Amino acid sequence: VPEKKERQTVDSGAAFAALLPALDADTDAAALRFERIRGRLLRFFRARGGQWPDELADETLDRVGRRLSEGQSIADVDRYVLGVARHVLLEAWRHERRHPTEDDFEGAVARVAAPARETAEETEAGLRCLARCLDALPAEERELLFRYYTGEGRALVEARQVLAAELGLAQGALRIRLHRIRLRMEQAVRNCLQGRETSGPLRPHSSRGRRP
Amino acid sequence: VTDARDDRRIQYLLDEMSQLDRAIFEDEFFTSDDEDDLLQAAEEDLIDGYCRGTLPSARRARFEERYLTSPEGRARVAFARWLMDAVAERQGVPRKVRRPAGPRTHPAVGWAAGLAAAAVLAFGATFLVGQLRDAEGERDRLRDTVARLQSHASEQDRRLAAMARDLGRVVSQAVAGGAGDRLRSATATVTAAPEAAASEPQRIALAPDVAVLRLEVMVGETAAGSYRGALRRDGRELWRQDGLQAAAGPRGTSVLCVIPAALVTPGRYVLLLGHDGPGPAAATELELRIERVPASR
Repeated sequence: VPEKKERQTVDSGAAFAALLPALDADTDAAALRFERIRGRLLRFFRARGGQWPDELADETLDRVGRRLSEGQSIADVDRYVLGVARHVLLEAWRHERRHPTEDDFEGAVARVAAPARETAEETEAGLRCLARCLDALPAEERELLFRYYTGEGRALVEARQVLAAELGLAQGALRIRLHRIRLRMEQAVRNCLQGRETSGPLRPHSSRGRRP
Repeated sequence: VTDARDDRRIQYLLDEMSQLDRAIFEDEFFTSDDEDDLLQAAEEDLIDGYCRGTLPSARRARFEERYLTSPEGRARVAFARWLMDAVAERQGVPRKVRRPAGPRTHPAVGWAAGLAAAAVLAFGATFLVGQLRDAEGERDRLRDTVARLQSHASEQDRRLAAMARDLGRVVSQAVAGGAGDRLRSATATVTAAPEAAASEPQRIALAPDVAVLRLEVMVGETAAGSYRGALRRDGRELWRQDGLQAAAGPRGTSVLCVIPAALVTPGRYVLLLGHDGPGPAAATELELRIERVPASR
């Protein structure tokens, strides 16, 4: 793993361009696949306590992209990405143990100093965006979302069982369906908070759910 | 969490698995979109559980280490809270009353809560005749205040613990990098033998100008290899270090723990020392009592 400052500037756009054709012949499907793989990497690095999950995920994708652009054939991209991610994590651990940098200290201070909870103004802005995005959600999905998240404890579990039975779905299937709605909402709220308006109703993606 | 398989996913997300189980699970979710979806759904349940205050304390701590230390993680927790607020608002529950999901009650706030509750009761009794509505309003405001105090105190707790861990790591790195030569240190030897563990706390005297405590833990003749150590006070972890190497010396095998003295104010501590490696390991617990003595100049 290169020095942290260098790692932070890894051009994930180049990796994206190199990886895309290997993931799917269709560009849109390949882009969704790329985002899913990146989401997996974020979960992988976060679970292992990596300090910089975003940077390590991009470093992993960059390495895979470079191998592909060098003409290496990769039969199973998912497994290959996992193998590279494990190497990147090990290198990061060794690097931090042997060569602590000012970034480590500054990062530690920044993490401790960062507020763990948003301000009242941020909460109000978030709730306003959420209300706007809920309005943009198809009525059927909005109702489903409200029902799914209503209640606590045992009552919540039972209400979800009733809801699944009403819809004729297995509980796992209902859970995945709500997960995908929630993903879209979360992304839409993020866009709204960044000043990017949600144009028109929030329709499902054409492919499977994804987490950036 | 809905079933054993979900609990396995949560174990993965919070790094509670053995190395082998983790590798198997990673193969599953990296190669199966269905398993990846279920992992994401479990992650959402985990975040919701944190926001509702239903996670056990150990998991709550692990969650906070992983999710509250990055902007992306904090954004996800905030979204979960907003979603709960929106759902509750739709049911007509006022927002200020339904946000008690503070992680845990700080002892000091427990007193404050008791006093506030007593104040509410007294206040309510005074105004029972004719002014019940005002009393309820005041009670709600006090509850809100208590909830804010709880949230603030537990947040301070979390930040102090995180700061202590980071400080410990940074000082350890500085010492490993050679800065230890320029810092005043004190060396103390303690014994990790079972008979010592069962006896009175082992006393360590520290002068106020000492910056680094070099704790030499005698682990016995047969205990070579790599160790992990942790120092706790009142159940809170103040310092942790993996990869501590046992070294043979004239008095037996010992493990050296280099601990920033700023972390140890006078009081009782527990030092946990166990063999390094994947999975749960049996650890020796040593009770220590830190005492301050005048500077030795």
